Amino acid sequence: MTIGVVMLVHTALGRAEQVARHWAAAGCPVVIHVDNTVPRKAYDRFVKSLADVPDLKFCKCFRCEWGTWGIVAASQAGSELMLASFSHVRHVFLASGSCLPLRPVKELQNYLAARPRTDFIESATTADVPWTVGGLDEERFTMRFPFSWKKQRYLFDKSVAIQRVLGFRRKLPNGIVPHMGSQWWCLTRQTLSAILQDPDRDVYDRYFRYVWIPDESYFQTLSRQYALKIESRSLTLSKFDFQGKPHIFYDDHLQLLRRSDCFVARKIWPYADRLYEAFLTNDADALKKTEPNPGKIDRIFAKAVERRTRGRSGLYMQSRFPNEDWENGVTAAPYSMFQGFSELFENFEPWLTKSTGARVHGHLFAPERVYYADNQTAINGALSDSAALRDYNARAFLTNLVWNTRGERQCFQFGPDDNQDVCWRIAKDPNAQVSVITGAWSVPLFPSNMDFADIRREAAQLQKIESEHMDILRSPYTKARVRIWTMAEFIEAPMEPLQGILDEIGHTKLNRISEVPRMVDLSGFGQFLQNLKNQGMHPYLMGDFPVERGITAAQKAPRKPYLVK
Amino acid sequence: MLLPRGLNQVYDEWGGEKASGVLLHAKFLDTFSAKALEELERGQHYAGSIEYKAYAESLQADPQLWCKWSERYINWRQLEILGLMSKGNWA
Repeated sequence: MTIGVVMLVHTALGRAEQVARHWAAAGCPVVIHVDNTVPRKAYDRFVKSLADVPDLKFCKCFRCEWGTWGIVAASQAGSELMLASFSHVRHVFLASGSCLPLRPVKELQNYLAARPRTDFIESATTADVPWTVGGLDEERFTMRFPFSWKKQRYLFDKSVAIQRVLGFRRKLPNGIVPHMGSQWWCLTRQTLSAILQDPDRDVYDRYFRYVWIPDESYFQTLSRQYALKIESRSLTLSKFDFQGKPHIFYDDHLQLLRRSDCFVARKIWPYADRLYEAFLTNDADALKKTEPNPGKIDRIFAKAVERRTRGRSGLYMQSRFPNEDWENGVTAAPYSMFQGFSELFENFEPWLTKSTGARVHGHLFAPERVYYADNQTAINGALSDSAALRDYNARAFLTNLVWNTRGERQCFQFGPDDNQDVCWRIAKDPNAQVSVITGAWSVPLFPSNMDFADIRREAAQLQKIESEHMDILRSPYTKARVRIWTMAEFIEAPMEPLQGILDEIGHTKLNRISEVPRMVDLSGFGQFLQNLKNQGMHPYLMGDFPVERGITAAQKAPRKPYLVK
Repeated sequence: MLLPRGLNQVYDEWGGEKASGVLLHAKFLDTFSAKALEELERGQHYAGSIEYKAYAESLQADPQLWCKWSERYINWRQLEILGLMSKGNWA
């Protein structure tokens, strides 16, 4: 008892010859189907080159266009010839010209000899598995497909659309349940002959002739009718990329394929000399009995698909330039933006550095230059401190900064005087932690030596900008973690908000804050705000700031008069 | 041969990464300041070698492009990790 190999060949005939010889040398009868489109001359040369191999036959040629009936017809013809000519064949293995055996054939023979009644065919119901990539699912079985998808795409699409409109549905013959799976199978003589000699085969063939991609469903469906024991997996390792095209294996996949312990792999690049050299040997010194283990390959290819379809969050470069809101994460890592803190606390930046260990920058978006941490003129990735370069694309500056410094938490100061182009991007970024003390921009104005009229104009301007920024942060599109306090609210109880922010940043060195940042001297600030009000400029972002702090707070509210009825 | 239009689209717009590489420009090689002077002497470039004049001038003032944030080249995987290129769908 042995296995017979049916090979479907359409190109790279030289490689097919090598593989056919390899199978035959191990005592496997081989039946080869050559695609009708192969030129007569090449076909004759191919047949002649294999003339000296015993137990090798060529079957009737069909035209095998992708997704059409031809491939099934070819598999049928090949299998029939195999079963009729070689009576000692127990398993028939369907392979293509670009399949390559990865383990000695003897190991495959032993493996199948130990499982004489098992059919290896991947076969799943369409209803349960959403396998198809960008194609038709259930409709493959309920519509007719008279047009070629490759050559008559327009007619193909139109006919699908028309059938959808008309609600056209075909009936499945004899109530079969459609199954799908890899077209590369290994079936027992019993199952295969039952399919091929079924009295209703005409009915099935007529039905499947107009099913879409019948090579992935004909044997997969019908084997369910007869098989005693189906192992729903293919012995042939084949990977598909995100577009549903088969991955091609090259020389650099050698080690990966070795470790997979799979029996056969496809597709192999015809010029992958090292692969063909390495695997087409039959030194059966130490036969392994291991199960195929494609897990590692699966993981690596799944990662490749993920890299291609999702990419690395926060990376913007020449081959990844996502449209807005399609970035799969705006930035690479969490970061914090503080507004009003360094105005209100004298030593906020050193204090934050000390208590979090994060890199704390000054105003990154300041009009005159970029204030990096430690007064540096450039940081990771040689990102410069030039305001002109930054303002050319401020949003990209931010994403670059976060990408370049990934692995280290970034914090920076922001304010209404800074470049506001980044406001929306930060607001929509789930990685952003935004903490704002509104109105704190007025604190540096208070001790400044400007004319009061200038101060008034400046304050009005800053208040307008900050108010717009707060509207953005409060919009329903905001995904950032936003905390907003008015200045009056914040200085009532500054510890609690600070503790909350530090806890969220995470890797704090201390559980509780031991050292507090120093607040600037605010005596007379209430009067300053009142002066602005008296000039007709109402600073409302600070909240309700008492004119004389301390005195008003100490004053007791006058008691309400009792009303005696 | 007319190539499919898709091949001209070099970047992915939906967050994924296409395969891309990196070119090393001659002006990042240490032989470049000598080369710039030589080309200036030959004067065989367009617009009176204006580009090479600029190169030679700025390189004379500050010939060192290496800075604290520069990295020593190791291999292509390093460039990929840095995000300068991508292997896309390659596994």
